[in-house]
Amino acid sequence: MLISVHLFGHYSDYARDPISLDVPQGSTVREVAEILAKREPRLIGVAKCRAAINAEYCAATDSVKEGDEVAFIPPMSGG
Amino acid sequence: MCRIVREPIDVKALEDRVSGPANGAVITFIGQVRENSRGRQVAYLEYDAYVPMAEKMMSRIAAEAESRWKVEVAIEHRIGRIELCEPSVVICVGSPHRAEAYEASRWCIDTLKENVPIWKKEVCPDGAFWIEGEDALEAVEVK
Repeated sequence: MLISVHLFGHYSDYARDPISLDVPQGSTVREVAEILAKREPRLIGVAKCRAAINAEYCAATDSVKEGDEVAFIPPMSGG
Repeated sequence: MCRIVREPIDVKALEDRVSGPANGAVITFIGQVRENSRGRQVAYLEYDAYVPMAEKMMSRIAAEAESRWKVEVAIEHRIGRIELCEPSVVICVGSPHRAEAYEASRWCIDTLKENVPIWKKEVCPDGAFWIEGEDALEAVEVK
């Protein structure tokens, strides 16, 4: 199933935004991170980032659905 | 609604939103670009944000502060290229009395920095660096 992934901070330098990713049904956010890292080894750190599904913070163990927008959120520096 | 903007922040307009006649105190916090960061000379900053989530989180922060301290809050954060001394974030708090306004203002900026998905890249003479918490990671050209 297709989801879209948004990357931020230095990770955004490694891929055009957003990434369209085909993942197995029932994948967790952690599994999405692993798929990303296989595709682009420089993204291996996203597994340690906070994550959001459809603009709401989520757990790494939460599952994604078809069409979901996943964001990996490294430590922030706004303000 | 607290917005992410790409043009210079209109500080007066934000203050006007919280300066009604019920309020005896208006506290404006301006976060602006400074020239030095951990020993690096900064030429300018570039901010990026996960815009829909950043706006949602800033609006929630404003609503929480309004409920907790009985104040009025307006927040705007700018993204894109921002020059030295230009505002990156403005938080305006209006309140009948100043004590609540000071507390709410402080809480809003502290909470924004911890939770709102916005990132700055420091552009320096020797390169550009994404700031992620305590780390500064060298920016590379996008493929």
